[in-house]
Amino acid sequence: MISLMVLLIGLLTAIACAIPGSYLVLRRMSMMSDAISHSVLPGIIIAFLIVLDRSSPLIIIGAALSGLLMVYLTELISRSKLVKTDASIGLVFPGLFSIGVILISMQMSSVHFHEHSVLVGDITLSALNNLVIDGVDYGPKSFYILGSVILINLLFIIIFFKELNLTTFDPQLSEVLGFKNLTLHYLFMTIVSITAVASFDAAGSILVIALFIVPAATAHLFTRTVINMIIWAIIFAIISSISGFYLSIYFDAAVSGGIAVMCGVVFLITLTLVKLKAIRA
Amino acid sequence: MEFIHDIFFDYTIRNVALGSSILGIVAGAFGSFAFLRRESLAGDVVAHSALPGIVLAFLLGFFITGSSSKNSLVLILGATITGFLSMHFSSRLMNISKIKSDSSMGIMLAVFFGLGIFLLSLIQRRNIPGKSGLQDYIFGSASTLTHSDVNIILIFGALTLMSLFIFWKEFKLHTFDRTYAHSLGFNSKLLDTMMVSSIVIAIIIGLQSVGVILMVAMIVTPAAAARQWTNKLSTMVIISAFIGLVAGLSGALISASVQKLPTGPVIVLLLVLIFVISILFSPNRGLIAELIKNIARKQRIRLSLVLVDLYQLKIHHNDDYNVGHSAKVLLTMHEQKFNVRKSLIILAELGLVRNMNGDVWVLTDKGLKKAESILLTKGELI
Repeated sequence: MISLMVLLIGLLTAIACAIPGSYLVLRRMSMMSDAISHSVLPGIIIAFLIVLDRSSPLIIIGAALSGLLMVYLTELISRSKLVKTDASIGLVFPGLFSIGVILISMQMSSVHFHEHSVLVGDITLSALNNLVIDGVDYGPKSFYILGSVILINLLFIIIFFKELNLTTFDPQLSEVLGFKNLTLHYLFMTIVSITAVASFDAAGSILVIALFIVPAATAHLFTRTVINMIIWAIIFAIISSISGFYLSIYFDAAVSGGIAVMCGVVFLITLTLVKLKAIRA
Repeated sequence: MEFIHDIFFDYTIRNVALGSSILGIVAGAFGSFAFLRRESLAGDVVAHSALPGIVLAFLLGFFITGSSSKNSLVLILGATITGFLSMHFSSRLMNISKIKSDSSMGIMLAVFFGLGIFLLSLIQRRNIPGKSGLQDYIFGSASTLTHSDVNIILIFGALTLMSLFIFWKEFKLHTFDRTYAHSLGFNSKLLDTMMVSSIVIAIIIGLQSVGVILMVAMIVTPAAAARQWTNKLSTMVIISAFIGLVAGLSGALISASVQKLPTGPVIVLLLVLIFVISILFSPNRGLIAELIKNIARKQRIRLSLVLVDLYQLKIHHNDDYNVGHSAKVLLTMHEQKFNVRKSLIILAELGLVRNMNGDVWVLTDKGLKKAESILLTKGELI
C-alpha cells in the first residue's frame, strides 16, 4: 500500500515537472532551473522556522520567493555587465544554497530536516504524511499539493500559450507587439519555483532538474510542435518514474536516484532510435 | 596564541589548513581560465558528475581487495574519469542532436549525479565497512582530510600549477584568441585538452573539502571577484588564487572549530562576501566608483549647460562686458530643473563667472573662452 503511494507520488512529481520543463528546454534555461532548485532551500528553511509545520502552504510561498530572489539577483549581476550570465548563475545559487545548508546544520539537525533528505528527498516519508480532517483520512497530503501544482501548471500554459510561444521563439517580435516579456519571464519563474518546492519531497533539491530537463529534452529530440513536445515529455516522465521506482525497489536504493537514472536511460534509447531512423532515411 | 600553535602542531588542524589552502589556490588560479572561457557552469557539471565516479571507485576497490580502504588516489581517479566522461558526452550531444548547450549540460549533470545518489544510497543501506566517509563528498568535510589526502592534493596541485607556469604564454593566447593561436601553429586541440584537464583536476581535488554541490563556487567566485580589480590576466590569476586561499583556509578552520558545521557552505559564504565587496568597492569597475563617476559626470554636464546658457544670453542681447543675467532667467531655459544657483556658485569658484549684485551673474573672460570652446568642440565639458 505504501509502495503504491510512493509510486503515485513519484508519478505526479514527474508529470508536474515535465510541463514547465518543456519551456525551460526551449527557452535555453536548463541551468537556471538547476539554480532555482538549489535556491528554494533557504526559503523553505526560513519559512519552516517561522511556522514550524512542514506541510504549511507558507513554505511553498517562502520557497517561491527565494527562487525568485535568485532569478532577480542573477539578472541584477549580469545586467551590471561586470559578470557574464553563466557565471552570475554560478555566483548566486551556491550562496543561497549555502545559507540553507548552514541553517539546517546549525538549527535543526534534530528536527524534520536533514541535509541528506533535502538533497535526495524522502518520498516514503511524504507517502506516510496523510491529510486528516475531522478524523477522516483523505490520503497523503502530497497528492493534493502535487495535484494542485499540476493543475496550476496546466492552467498557466493554457492561458498564456500564445504569449509563452511568442516570447520563447521570437522575443523581439513579442516586445514590438507590446507583450510584457519580463513580466511573463518572472511569472514563469514563479511557476518553476513552485513546482520545484512541491517536488522537493519526492525528488530532493538536486534531482528536480532531472525531472525538469531530461524528459523534455528527450521529447525535443524528435517533436516539432510545442504541444507534441509537452505530451511526449509527460509520457517519458511517466515511463521514467515508474521504471525508476521499480529499479530502486529492486536494488533497495533511493527512489529519486533511480528515477534520474531511468530518465537518462530513456533519453539514451530515444537518441539511438532517432539516430538510427535518420541513418536509414 | 594557542590557535596559532595548533595550526602548526595539531594533526587535524594542520591537515585542514594545508589542504584547503592549496585547493583554494589551485581552484582560484584555474577558475580564472574557466571564467574567461565562459565555462563556469561546466565546472558545476564536472563536480556533480564526479560523485558516481567516487562511489564506483569505492565499490570496485571493495570488490577487488575485499576490504574498504578509502584510498583517496583511487577515488580521485574514479571522479576524474566520470567528470571527463560527462563533459565529453555533453559536448558530443550538442554536435549529434539538436539539444542546445544548456540542456546537454543539464542532462549530464542530472543523470550522472542521479546515478551517484542511487549508488550512494545503495551502499548506505548495506553493511559495507568504511561507507560513512562517502557521504562527506556531497557537502564537503575538511576535517576528514588525512595526511595522505593532503599529500595527494599537494602533488596534483603542484603539477597543475607547474604546467600553468610552463605553458603560461600558450594558455593565455589560447584563452583569448583560439583562432590566432591555431594559425600561429600551436596545437589548439592539445592546449584545449591540457586546460580542461587542469580545470577538472582543480575541481576534483577540492571535492573532499568543499563537496560536489558547491565546488562550482570555488571555481567561479574567486575569479569573478578578481576580475573586478584588474584587466591583466596575470594579476587576475594571482588575486583569484589569493582569494581562494583566504576563503579556503579561513572557511576550513571555522568549520573545523564549530561542531556540525559543513565546510563547503562556510567557504562559499566567505567567497560571496569577498565578491560583494569587490563588486561594490573596486576602484575602476566597482558599482560605487561607477556611481561617483556618474554623479561627477552629471555635475559637469550641468555646469557646462549653465555656462553655455549664459553665453547664449550674452550673444543674443549684444551685451556689454559688465551686463549680467539673473539666475531666474537661466532657470527657465530648461525643462529639466536643477539647482542653477549652486552650479553658478561652483562656476564662480572656478573663475568662469562673476556675481554682480544680488542674483545677477556675468561671464568672465575665461568663462567666455571656455563657453566658446565647449560650443566649438561640442563634446568637451568643464
